Amino acid sequence: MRRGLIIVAIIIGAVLLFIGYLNSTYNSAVSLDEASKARWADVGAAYQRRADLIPNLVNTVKGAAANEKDILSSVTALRSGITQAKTPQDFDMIGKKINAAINLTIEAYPQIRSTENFQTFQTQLEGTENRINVAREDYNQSVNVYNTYIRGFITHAVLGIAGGNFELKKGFEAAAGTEKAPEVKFN
Amino acid sequence: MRKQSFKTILSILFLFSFSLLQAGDDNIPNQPLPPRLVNDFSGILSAADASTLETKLANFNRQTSNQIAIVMVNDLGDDEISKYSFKLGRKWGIGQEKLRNGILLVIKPKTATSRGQAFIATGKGLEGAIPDATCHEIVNNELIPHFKQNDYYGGLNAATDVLMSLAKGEYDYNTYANKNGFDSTFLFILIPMIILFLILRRRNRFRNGYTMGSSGWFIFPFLGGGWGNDSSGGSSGGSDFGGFGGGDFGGGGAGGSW
Repeated sequence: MRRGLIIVAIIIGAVLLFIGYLNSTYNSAVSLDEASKARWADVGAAYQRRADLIPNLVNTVKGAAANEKDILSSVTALRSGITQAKTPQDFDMIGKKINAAINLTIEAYPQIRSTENFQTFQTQLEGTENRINVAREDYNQSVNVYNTYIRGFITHAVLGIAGGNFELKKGFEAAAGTEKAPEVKFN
Repeated sequence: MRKQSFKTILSILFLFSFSLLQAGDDNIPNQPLPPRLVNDFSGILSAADASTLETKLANFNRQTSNQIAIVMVNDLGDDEISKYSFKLGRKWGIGQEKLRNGILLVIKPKTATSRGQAFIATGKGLEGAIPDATCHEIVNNELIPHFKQNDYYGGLNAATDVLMSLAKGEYDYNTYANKNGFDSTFLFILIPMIILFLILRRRNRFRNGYTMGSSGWFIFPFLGGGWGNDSSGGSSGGSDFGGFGGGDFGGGGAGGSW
């Protein structure tokens, strides 16, 4: 009688422990997932910053050029592209487009190079590039932690039981593997 | 029990990912012990000049919680100076963790065979107070003209003066204390613990005379964790620098070469 009670208690205890383990594994996976989503948003913010340089650049030269409208509407398109970006490749593509738009702007306003603000603009351009690089690396790192976690031998099985949608994420690839973005030309 | 071992696994995993991170940091020097704000690995500054700068920056840190660090190195490894600066700033944790108000000046002195390079990296919390364009101006107007004359101390002294006046407007010690002050949830945990601690102590006194039960000691690590990083904010005179606060860098700053 007493023995039976002990066995039942042990079973209940084991089940509770298992549920606790499931719960904490699941929660860890969720928090790592969320962390990498936040880093992803940082990447978007960095690209946004770069795209926003274009209107700034246009503002430094007040004289309206024929294609000013085209340039600014391309910035609007870029902005929506940034918010809709789903994969690292999307951002690589957007980066190229932003640089192309910047080049277009400089070509459209040749007098831009002689303005005093142009130096500032170059510095800002470098700054946004640095921020993009840092944000991309941070994202890669968070993806690395997340992927390592959900691929763990036991974790993987446990997450399968717990349900939920935990897929491997893809990080940004090194510049060597991808086509190089058109560089911004200053001269 | 199971949960505990799981936590160990998780922390091992985190340590592992951290060591992966470290693997890419081979070219970044470890921070010296005890920590210093002026770190001349190139050996160009005289001891007197370095300690004058150290005192100035340590005082500024004590008064405003902003941490301005100087690192002079002859070799940047394979990194560009900007990347080197962000990596070093993060590895050492320059600036306070919550305010992220660190500034790092990395100087690679000019040699017979290579150009001199300078970079000012701003922590995430100071990007607004000191925009990239301003860093660029400081490098070109304060650092490089002096550096060209081989006057490294003069350049660093002038640049840190400007940086200090800019950073001061953003954070003084009060904003730091307010932002960094323990949040009220901390009190909700602390007060019951003190009460519990007193009850346990009293009970133990009744039982074992004046010896304190070991169960009462668990409160101390808590105290250490709560006020640990305030050491840099203390008012102990002299130029002792309390250590870096865990600040973060996100790509802000600008540099130049000569």
